[in-house]
Amino acid sequence: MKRIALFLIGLLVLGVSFRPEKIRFEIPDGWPRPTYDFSKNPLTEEKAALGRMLFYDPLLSRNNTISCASCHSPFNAFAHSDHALSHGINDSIGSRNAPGLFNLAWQRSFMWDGAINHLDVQALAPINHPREMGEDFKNVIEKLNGQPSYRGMFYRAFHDSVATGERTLKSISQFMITLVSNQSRYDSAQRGQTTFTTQESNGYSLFKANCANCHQEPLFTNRSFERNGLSVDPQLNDQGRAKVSGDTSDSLRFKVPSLRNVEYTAPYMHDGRFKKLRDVIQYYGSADPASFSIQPTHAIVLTPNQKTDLLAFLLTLSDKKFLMDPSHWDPAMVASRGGNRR
Amino acid sequence: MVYQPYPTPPLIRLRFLFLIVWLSCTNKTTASGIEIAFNCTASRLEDGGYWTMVGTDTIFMNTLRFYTTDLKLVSGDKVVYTDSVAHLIDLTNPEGLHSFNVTMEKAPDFDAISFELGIDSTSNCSGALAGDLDPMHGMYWSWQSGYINLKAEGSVGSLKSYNTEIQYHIGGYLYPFLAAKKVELQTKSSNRIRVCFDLNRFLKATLSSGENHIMSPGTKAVSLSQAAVNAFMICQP
Repeated sequence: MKRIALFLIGLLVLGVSFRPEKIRFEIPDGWPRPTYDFSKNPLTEEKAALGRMLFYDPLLSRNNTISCASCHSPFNAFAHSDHALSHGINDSIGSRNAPGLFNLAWQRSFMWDGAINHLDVQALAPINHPREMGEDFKNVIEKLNGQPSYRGMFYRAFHDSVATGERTLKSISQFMITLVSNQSRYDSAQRGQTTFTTQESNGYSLFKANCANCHQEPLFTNRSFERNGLSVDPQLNDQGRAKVSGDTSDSLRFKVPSLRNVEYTAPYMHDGRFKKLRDVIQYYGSADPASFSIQPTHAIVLTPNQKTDLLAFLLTLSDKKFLMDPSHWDPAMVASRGGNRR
Repeated sequence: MVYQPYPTPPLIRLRFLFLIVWLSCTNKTTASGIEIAFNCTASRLEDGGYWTMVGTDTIFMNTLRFYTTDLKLVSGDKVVYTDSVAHLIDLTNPEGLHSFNVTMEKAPDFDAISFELGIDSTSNCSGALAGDLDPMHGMYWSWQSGYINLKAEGSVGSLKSYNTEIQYHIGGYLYPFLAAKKVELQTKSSNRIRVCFDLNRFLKATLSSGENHIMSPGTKAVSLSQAAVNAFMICQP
């Protein structure tokens, strides 16, 4: 009898200790299948929570002052307002504009030139970059293993309290994957829950006629590298995709950013040269279409009213629920406010 | 996003339990092992590095690390054993492993071995990997994706210049700059195979190219990778 009781208790313990707390990743209606291979890194509550903690922890930088969130603020759709180029360790200035972070499970490559081929290794770039976080990744792992608070989190996530590079990177990925933005006014209109105003509707038509080849719905990017005729900043001399591919025909091609949350992700372009959305629209009206790598091969010349209509549509891509979701915020800040309120 | 934890089905838990019981009941079989040991032919320094002479220059190397994958034991034209695991060999770390063991039920006869010097394209595109492939080992580029197949760093002692450093980070997984290359060596059947890296031969080839710094994929990296392949040889056990 005693043996049977012990066996049943053992069975119960086994069941509890190996129970995965998986997160079901929902693909919004009409969206393509994610590029991210979830079978290699199944989403769990524990890993995403660990990744969120790491994302906001300045311990990842050489002098413990810069976190991922330093350049990717949740209140700017994880972009960096007021900084044309990333602002890193010891007030260093980088060479590219920090992009917004959302819907990353659908991305095929990362960084403005696509130098990173997988989300799981993306965080290595800013951690190692001397003008961003400036830290040796091995030191990061050593620091994490020296933090008692992380031992428990790694144990809950991986059934082992030891931090490794693989576990750290996959956890950060998991948090970034949970950053899905699909609750904008545009999305509501697509679901038939609301209708556009006349101005927004006019703007949508203008968008489809002039912008949608690169900024394809529903992600509002074709996930490719295009040339949009911007002149080269002589100080940065950034050749874009060509640096990665070694192919001169890729010169000045940069990754097409999503226009979702474009209201919050100023400044614009790979080098942040435009401070306002109106500046961007103005630029496309004056750019040399021969320098574009994709249709339209004409300058996008709009009347003042049309520009306002287009702006009105672009503002429908703002996802305030995404910005105000405390489950994306710094866990320390949320804890001080009384926890997550989804 | 909707978060819905879903419980593990009871059947899967039971299968796991059966697996534990089965593993505990299975008799362990004795296996044969072959040790693949790597060495450097150059003179060893106390800190684990090496020195060698190339012409009138004295070269000090403080880093000499590389990946081997896809080990094969070959008999005639037949592959008699394959080990696909990636191994990071660090010849300049005094405490690091310079060898690895492969185990099999019965050691086969063989007359050659081969291995890839470097990491295949699939692994290069598979995100963060564990074990010897963990990016924390410093053999993964951060500014762009990809493993460094071979890292050789040191200095040229006799150059009267501030820039005496030599740095080779050889990698690249995209066509046409695939840097991983096959090393094929004739040998005799043994339970210990000693593979030597002829540092002098490697440096003669690299320094004659006039390049002291090659740290990104491209034609130069592919050429240096071939120079590294040519530097491997079988040593007497």
